[in-house]
Amino acid sequence: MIGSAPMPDAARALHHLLRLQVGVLCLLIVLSVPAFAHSSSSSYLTVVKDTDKLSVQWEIALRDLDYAIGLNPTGRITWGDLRARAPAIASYTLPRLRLDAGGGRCRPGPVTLLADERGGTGYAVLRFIARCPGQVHQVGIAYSLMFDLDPQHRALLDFIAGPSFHVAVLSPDRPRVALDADVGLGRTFFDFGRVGVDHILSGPDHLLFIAILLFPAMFRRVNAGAWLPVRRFFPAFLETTKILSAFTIAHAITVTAAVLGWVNVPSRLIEGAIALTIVATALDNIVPILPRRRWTIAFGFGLIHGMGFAAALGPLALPPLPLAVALLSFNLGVEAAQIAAASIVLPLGFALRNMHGYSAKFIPGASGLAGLVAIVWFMQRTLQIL
Amino acid sequence: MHQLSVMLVWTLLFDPVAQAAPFLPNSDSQVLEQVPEALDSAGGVLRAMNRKLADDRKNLALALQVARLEIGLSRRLGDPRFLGRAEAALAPWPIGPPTPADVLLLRAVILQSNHDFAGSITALQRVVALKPGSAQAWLTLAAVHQAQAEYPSALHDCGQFADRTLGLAPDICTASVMALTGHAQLALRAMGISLSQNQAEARAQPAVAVWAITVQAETADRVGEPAAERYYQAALRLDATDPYLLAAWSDWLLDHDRPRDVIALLSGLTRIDPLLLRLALAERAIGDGQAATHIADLAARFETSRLRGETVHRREEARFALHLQQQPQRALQLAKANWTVQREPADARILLEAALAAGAPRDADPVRLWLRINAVEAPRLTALADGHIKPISGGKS
Repeated sequence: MIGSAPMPDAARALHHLLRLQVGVLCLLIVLSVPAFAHSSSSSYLTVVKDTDKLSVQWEIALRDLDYAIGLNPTGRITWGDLRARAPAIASYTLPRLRLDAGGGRCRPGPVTLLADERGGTGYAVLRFIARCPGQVHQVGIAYSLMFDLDPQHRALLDFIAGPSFHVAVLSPDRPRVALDADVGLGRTFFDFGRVGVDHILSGPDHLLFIAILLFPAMFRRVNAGAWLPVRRFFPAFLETTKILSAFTIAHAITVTAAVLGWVNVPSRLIEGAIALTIVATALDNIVPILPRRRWTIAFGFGLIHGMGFAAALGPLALPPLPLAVALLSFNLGVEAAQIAAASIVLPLGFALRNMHGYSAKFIPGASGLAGLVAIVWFMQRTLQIL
Repeated sequence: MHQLSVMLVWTLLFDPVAQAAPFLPNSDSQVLEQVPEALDSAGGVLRAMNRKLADDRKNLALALQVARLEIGLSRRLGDPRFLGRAEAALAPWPIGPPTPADVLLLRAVILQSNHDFAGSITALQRVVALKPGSAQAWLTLAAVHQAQAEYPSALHDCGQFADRTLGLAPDICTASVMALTGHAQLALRAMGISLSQNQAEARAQPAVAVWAITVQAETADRVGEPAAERYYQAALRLDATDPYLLAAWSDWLLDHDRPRDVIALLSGLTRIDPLLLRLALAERAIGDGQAATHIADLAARFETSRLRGETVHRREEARFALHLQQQPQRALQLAKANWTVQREPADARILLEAALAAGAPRDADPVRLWLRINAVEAPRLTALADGHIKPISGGKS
């Protein structure tokens, strides 16, 4: 299985080398530092569970494929070589990855070939969907690529079932894993709630939006756009609750619609639009351009942010009940994170509302800064510049 | 306000939506990889031999030849893939009572390369029991014992090695241990004499000569002799591609504020992790734009290695964490874990540097003990240990 064409030159060189080695004490010089370089052979395997199928992405080092089936005798591997050998690559690799679920073997469909680079090394990327005989509950993965040619080879497996994530290393000593793809309702509730919280707390754009939306919460706007501090905390608190609830209801609507596939907008447009909502809200803090009632802004823009949340959730291949639980807990998670953010911004704003310069300088200044950042995001996301 | 601006820069640089991913190359002529062994004369030979071996898996003589060539290639190209292929050739003879001594020896060399020092010593002790004449087994034992700072055992192994073969190699074996145990000047003189007396052997086995002169250069550098530079250059004239030599020479250059020379030396050798580390250190030192890419590559490689569960390159990773990621605490954890396995001057240095940078100088006490009980002559390490000087950034590890 090694190499592609016979090499008479190599054979001659071999005889020459064998003759040379006779009688010579050939020391393997062992320097004081034993292992000197350390990038061993690894493949990266990602398996995503769906209702009755598995989506697979398998990244295999080009050097390993070349060693196993020969891609280019000169060792200079081009995309053309890879494409030309695509059928051979599929017929060599696919039988060495066995996926079992739904009562039998999942059959790989057509393979899409891509390229990748990891840590400076070239990889072939194989993407395919493996159809299983029935609904996927348990997944068995048996791996044998390269183990016969290089026992140091490892497959680094990511298994993804909804929000839960499983990592494993497959080796000649442990070439098989069985994974539980079924997740209980309680687990679903907890996991998706956490995804919701994480999505807000780890995504600067939503946090930024909420922050500038709430900056002026402790003020009333008078004519010409100037801000007057409120007297009491409670009415302002109620107003904020109204704003956040409008935001939550709106994004819950679009998250649901997008996850169920009722609406489908390219994510680049959505991400661009989210950046624009920040620009508009920031601008409104400086010069009034949006409706006076903030909850209407929150609702309208919430519809847009919701479609962005849907991208964070990804396509959810869940039965109806777990799906409903997932959507509910995700939105609750988002809401909880927002309340956490508000509970920091609000008391601060209330305490500082009478401070000299807070409404006249800080709010416009911080909003302007946020607007600038959002403009940069907008350009990166839609025009792919910067 | 400072925090806010840091956060702002962070958000501008790392748009949450942007991400690297597999790609569709622009054209068929786009080169995705250069297989390094295709450029090495042994690569073609090995291909032919491996094809023969695939049809004749039980051919012991051929399997040994293949494994030896693969191990040699792995050292020459600084690439552990060939160790895996050597293991594949030896697969029909797993480690067990009936394993032939020659197979055991090569398996021990592979185990040593994967830092399974205990496994390697066990296998080597069986080799010398089965085949007392094996000079290679004693040399490998000496190297493992030396790497673990078991100097009396290493000296004993070198003596056994010298009983079985005469010349440069056993002299260097002994001298390299003496150089770490209070006899550095004597060792330097012995190496100089042996090199001049064994010129025929040095010519016939350039790898042994390169090894000898590299040890000479490292010893001279450790005791602070300027002759180190001359030795390194002599070794490079014999073999300008030896990865170990290139790394040691790069460290010398970094220590002497010559990062540009390191970049000129290593810019084509990014495949070899320890050399990529030195290259990134040099690029960082002069503010070269390539540094960010190379640091990201190193981070990806260390992450893969972590996922694989390997502990082979904690020395390099500690140095990466300390000097390129500014994470002294993590560097210290790595350097401490590394010291439990490897105890060479480079391991001592990174542990001292990390402990000082992390504000926990006492964590390097094992190194102080090592310096004292072996009477190691290394003025810079001693100064670090005594807290007389600040750690040298970008330095050798």
